[in-house]
Amino acid sequence: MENIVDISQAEKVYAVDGIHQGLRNDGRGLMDFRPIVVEFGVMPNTHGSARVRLGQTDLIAAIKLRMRQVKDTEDFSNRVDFYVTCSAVASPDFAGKHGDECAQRIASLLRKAYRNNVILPELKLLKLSKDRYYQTKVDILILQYDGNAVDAASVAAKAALSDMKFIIPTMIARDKGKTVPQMPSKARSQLKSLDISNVPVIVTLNSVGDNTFLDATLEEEQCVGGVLHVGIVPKEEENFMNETEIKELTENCYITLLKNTKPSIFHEEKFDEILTVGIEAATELNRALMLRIEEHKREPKKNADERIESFMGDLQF
Amino acid sequence: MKRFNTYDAYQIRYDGRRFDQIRNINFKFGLYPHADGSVYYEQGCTKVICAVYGPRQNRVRTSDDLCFINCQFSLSSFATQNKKKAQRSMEAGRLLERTLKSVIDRSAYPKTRVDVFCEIIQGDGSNLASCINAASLALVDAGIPVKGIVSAVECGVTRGYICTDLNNSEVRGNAPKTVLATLNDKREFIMVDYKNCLHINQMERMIEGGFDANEKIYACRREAILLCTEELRKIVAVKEL
Repeated sequence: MENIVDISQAEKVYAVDGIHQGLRNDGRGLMDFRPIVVEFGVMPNTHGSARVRLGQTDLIAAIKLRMRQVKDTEDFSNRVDFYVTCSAVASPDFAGKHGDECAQRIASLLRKAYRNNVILPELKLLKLSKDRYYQTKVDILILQYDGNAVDAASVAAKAALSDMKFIIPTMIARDKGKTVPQMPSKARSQLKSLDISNVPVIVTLNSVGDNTFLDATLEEEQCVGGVLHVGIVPKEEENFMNETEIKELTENCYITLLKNTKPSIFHEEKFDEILTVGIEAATELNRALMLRIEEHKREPKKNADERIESFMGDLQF
Repeated sequence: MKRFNTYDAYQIRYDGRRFDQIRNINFKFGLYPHADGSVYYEQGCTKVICAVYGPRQNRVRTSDDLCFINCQFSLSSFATQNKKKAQRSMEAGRLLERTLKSVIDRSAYPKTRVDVFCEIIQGDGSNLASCINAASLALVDAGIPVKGIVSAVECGVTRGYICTDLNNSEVRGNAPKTVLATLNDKREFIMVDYKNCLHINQMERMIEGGFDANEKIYACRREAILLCTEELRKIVAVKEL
């Protein structure tokens, strides 16, 4: 990730000076995200998929469910598995095994954020019987890298989970405690999906000197001093909001991920401020994403004959 | 549960095509502007994204003065039904490299390298053939001088009939398959790769079928490329006015 683009010392000084004055290269403020485009259902051969474009960063997330057999499903907790690939299409530096290091970093952050029982309470549904369960694997493919892949990956994972549809088969018992699945006869009417309102959203905070900013582009990533990833589980919100209520909410949400990836030191007083900023940003991002998911659910259902015009369409930045 | 054999009954394949019919081809240039050339290519349900980076500086010192070509062929983990992890096939990458070596004008850019990366995001049979098609289009988009456009198709024998442009259900199993690549319109192949055992009597017909399909693929792509360049030429002319 560090070798993708080389910027000179003068460019770094220019970027850092701008940040100290609250200005960024493309005219955004310090707390502004780039335009995010989320599309659902781009991979029809998977159980759920989404494509997220955060500025020029382009990711596809796809979910596959595999039925696995174990001795006893009570013994372990069903977790969502993440697997991230940096495609060589994104940069020639990702060819061969070099892309794997960057990918591992992102995957481990996502895994950490998802490692608790609050986020997907309906995951128990995927434990079909005493010896079989559906293993959920989220595959993320990075097609274009322009900074801030972690945020985009968390948004894509949440969007893909919202798009996931599966069928719970009836389990027929056989001898020795094993069970065999049987598909219900009217499969299409029994599609289930998971409730994703508690799924975490990760926001990356970059700090340069005394200022923090969100959503770094590729060039800005080379000049930051410290990088902090904050993942929150959003709380239930009511429809009417005023300023004081928002403040209370931001103090009462769960944090599932708090990780520092660049070696740097945060001062204790500054840290509280940075954390509050991060939580607020993540809540906003989550709100926008939930609006988009609701909008997608309300769209009329496409019939199977219509093409999926994700890549062939004209929406380019 | 036996499927009704449409091959014998109606002389059509399971997806409704005749034996020598190719799938629909769609492609879009310039998907990722930071790569020198990029294309999104669809052949039926097989979707490939190909990016070309080059000519760039080559850090590896080669003995001759020609351009070094590096290809990577990667199948993403959600591309097919049963693959577990992303796979980078070395063999397919080598085949792609050798095909492109004979197509790119290597002496035009000595001591440089050209990287071609193909990512299959949805695989529905004919993976290597689609990658070759996509790579040749990406080279056109990158502006690298090439001797012509490569067309490739995968042919095989299914249920006793010779079919071109196989899809996923026909590719599985031990049926013999070949991937044939030709340059421009000629009836000579620049790359051929085959799997499993093939009877000598069927080889002639398979190659003939491959050539015919390649002609069709080449014709429709050439039309589309000419259309694209005409559009670009109009844009350039308007700007100059």
